[in-house]
Amino acid sequence: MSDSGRTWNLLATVLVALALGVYFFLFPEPLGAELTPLARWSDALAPVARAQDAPVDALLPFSAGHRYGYFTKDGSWAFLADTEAGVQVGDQSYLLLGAEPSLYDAGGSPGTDIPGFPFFNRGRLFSAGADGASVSAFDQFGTLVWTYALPVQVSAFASSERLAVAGTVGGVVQGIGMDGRTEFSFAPGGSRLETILALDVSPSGDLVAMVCGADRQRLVVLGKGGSDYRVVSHRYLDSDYREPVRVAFLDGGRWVLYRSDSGIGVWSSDGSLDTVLSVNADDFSVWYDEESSRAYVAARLPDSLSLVAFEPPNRILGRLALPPDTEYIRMDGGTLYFGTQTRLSRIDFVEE
Amino acid sequence: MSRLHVSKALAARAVLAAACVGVAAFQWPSDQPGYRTGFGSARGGTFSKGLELSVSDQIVKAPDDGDLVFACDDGRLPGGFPLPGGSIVALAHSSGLMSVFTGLQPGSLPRHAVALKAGEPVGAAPPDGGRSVNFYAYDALERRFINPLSLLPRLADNRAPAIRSVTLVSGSQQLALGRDNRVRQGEWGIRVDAADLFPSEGPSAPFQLAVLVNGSELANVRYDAAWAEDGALKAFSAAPVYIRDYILPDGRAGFGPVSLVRGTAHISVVASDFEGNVREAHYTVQVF
Repeated sequence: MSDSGRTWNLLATVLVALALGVYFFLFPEPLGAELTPLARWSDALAPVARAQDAPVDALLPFSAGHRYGYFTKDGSWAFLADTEAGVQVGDQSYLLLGAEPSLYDAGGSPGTDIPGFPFFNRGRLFSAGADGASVSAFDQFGTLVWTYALPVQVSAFASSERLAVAGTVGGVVQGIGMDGRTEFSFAPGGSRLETILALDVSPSGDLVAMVCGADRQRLVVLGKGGSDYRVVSHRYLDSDYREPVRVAFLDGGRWVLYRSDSGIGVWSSDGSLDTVLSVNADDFSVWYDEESSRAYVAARLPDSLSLVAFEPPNRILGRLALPPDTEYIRMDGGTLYFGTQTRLSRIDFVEE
Repeated sequence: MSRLHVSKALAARAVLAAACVGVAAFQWPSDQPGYRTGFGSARGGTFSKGLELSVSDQIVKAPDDGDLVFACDDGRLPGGFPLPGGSIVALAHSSGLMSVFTGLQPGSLPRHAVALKAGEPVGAAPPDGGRSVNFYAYDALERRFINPLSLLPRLADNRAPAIRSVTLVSGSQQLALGRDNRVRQGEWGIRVDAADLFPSEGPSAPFQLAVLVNGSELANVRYDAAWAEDGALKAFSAAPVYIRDYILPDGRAGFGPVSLVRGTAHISVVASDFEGNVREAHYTVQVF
């Protein structure tokens, strides 16, 4: 290389370094604090009978396979039991399934029979009809509040404190109010094949997100305006799923997370931002810690499970690989509980 | 309405019209046609919106060419909603009709297909004694379940339905007609227990049920369709009724009330099956 060539290379290097320096001084972006996972405890599990002095407050529900119970943050158990019938565990009460499902409260009161095929959603108790084309809502004591018939079989379901939404294989979404009356009926259309693959409701019940249709598939967000729900944003997707997928609101409804082949899609409910969280997942669960403004997503693939901490919309703070056989996972603020039928562990995420 | 929807609506009507004149729109979804209970059968006090197929251990097949729109055999949807029989498959057909199957064996669904030809496998039925496999025909444009028998090739049948009992009901008072047919004048409901026992393997609803009082038609229902209206299930296109008022917890059909005045009343019940086999029952009631 000639002397003049070397001079030009040196000059170019200096100019690039200078430009980068000016950029970082003029447009500084604070880096997130270091997030460190601290293992608190990890206990082998064996059945624990309900004792007189068992803790009754601040209990966390647990279920993995045939084992279920309630525990405290320090790993003490109110009880831990086994059942062959199948079980659904909610924050305040649990369901023993089988031929005649029964509801029990976490404190151990006598059971109440719940007809149909009961399940918990967001702490509320529902029951599906035998043909999957109707749903009933019950209060916390197991008393029937309403029953609602859907046009055809349900393919997606979500609820908040004051709204339940059911999507059908036929492509219709019904919003059902606290009293069992129709809040709205919505057919998104816009695709050659109409169906509903995913639904979520914001905590306030004012926003509803869905993945719908095939050829082409769409993400649609409805918002409550006056007494009706209208489309507030939508986008076509590259996906062509023909199975249930996950869609989830985050940060009170500000963001919508949805399954996509290129990572977990992140969409702002008002349609102003469309990006991707670089996490591969066939299915995921997401939690938001308001105190730290951090979110955590548990991402599941056929052979792996990982927990990813991030700042919405998509700034990843750290990843933690979990055992693929993990059956139970729950975030409580910045604390992770995870385990199997035989072991439960706690990890705290702390800033250092 | 878009052009696509108009053409689909016309196609759906053409399919249903063809079915009415005996041209099958669907083929039976198994090599051995048959069903255990039919459309409208009261199971556990609920109104069946499809056929419970008689397909133990058989491959269940697409009843027509169609697009796979939804398939899941995970037992539950995300969010916990339990799937009927643990699985569901829905196919959309060009006519605007959908076929929906529930209860197929997990792992047997065509999860990676996007379209199926008529006769291609939709899934495998569990062995005898396992979950029941149910087949629903849904008109996606009219948003109603259609009696699948009206879309399928007919099964040979020369046996009339059975009328097992007709009962007059007023408050807690019940009088089974047939023996001492004497009642006080007043308002009476009529409860009918009628069943078609063939070609289904179990008791099914008849296809048509009529009740006449003193020669006037009190009710005449055809088990052709069922749909949800504002969260409540209705059925019978020509004379819609709310199913919660029609199907009693014990499975009988409820009609009336009818006002019976002093003298003689004649009550007739006529039950027909899909092949047109008819059973009639006539009662004379002394009203005092």
